[in-house]
Amino acid sequence: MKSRIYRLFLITGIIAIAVLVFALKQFNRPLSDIQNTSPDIEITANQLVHDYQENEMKASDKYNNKIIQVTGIIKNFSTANGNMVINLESKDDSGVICEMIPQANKDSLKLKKGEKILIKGSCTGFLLDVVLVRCVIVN
Amino acid sequence: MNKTILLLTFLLLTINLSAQEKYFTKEGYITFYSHSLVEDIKAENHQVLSIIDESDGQIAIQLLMRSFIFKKALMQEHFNENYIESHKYPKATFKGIIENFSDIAIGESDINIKGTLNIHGKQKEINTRARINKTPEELDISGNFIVKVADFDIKIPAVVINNIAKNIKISFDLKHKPYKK
Repeated sequence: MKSRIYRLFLITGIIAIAVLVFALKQFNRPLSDIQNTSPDIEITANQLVHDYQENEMKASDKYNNKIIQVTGIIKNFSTANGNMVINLESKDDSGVICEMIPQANKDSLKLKKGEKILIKGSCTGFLLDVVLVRCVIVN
Repeated sequence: MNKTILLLTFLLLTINLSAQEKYFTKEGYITFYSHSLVEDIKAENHQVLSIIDESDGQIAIQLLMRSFIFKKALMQEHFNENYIESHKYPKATFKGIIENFSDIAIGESDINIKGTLNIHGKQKEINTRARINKTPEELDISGNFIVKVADFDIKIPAVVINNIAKNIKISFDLKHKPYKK
């Protein structure tokens, strides 16, 4: 009888610790690693911008909060608080703004205007341009 | 629809088109900060769109909620999915006026900004002091103000009520450049 109660306590204890560890891990989980996440959608910068301009609501449902791998030509570079931002051109003035993760800064510096590039990032929506955040260079 | 039409529509909706010159940035910086006994939460957005009409000092700001980056994934998920409901309200906007805009001289000075903040589909009047730094090439506006979570109909579950402050500090730094056509 005694050993049964003891065993019950032991099992409950182990389960409680496991739940706690899981909860803490979940609570402190870092942002997903885009580098090792396969993209939900692969598309050209042109098509992405076009889709938002044509129907922003529809495009938002399709692309917002998705990991998007986009092909495009580099229009120019800028920085945001020390992070590289790569702007991709499209057929008209709008483009795709790609805010890179800090780890991508070094590789971004090697790039040139007019170069063709493959970038993967999380799409947040459309203002005057399509915005991707936490981007990495794929190729 | 090409970009020019889109931009014109945006300007028409937000700012009187008769104006001559506009200041503009696509890379404004806005953060918010929540301090509580349990934890501090901070999120940063580097992709803020802001346009100032030089003729009357009207200012229009837009940002995407999902462009806010948090330290922890869970915070970002809760913020977007449960509190702000980014799928329903993807953008936040501010439309207002910089008072006595035409009197602002080159150099640094204090200004007053008045307008309507729209977050989570709810509107709130904001009246705040800000710092402006005017040079021939740049119009840098920075400052901060406090908003109440309750004013925007944002529901925080009881289980995390102590993790999130009732008052959130919003800081902004918007470096505008003259808009070239």
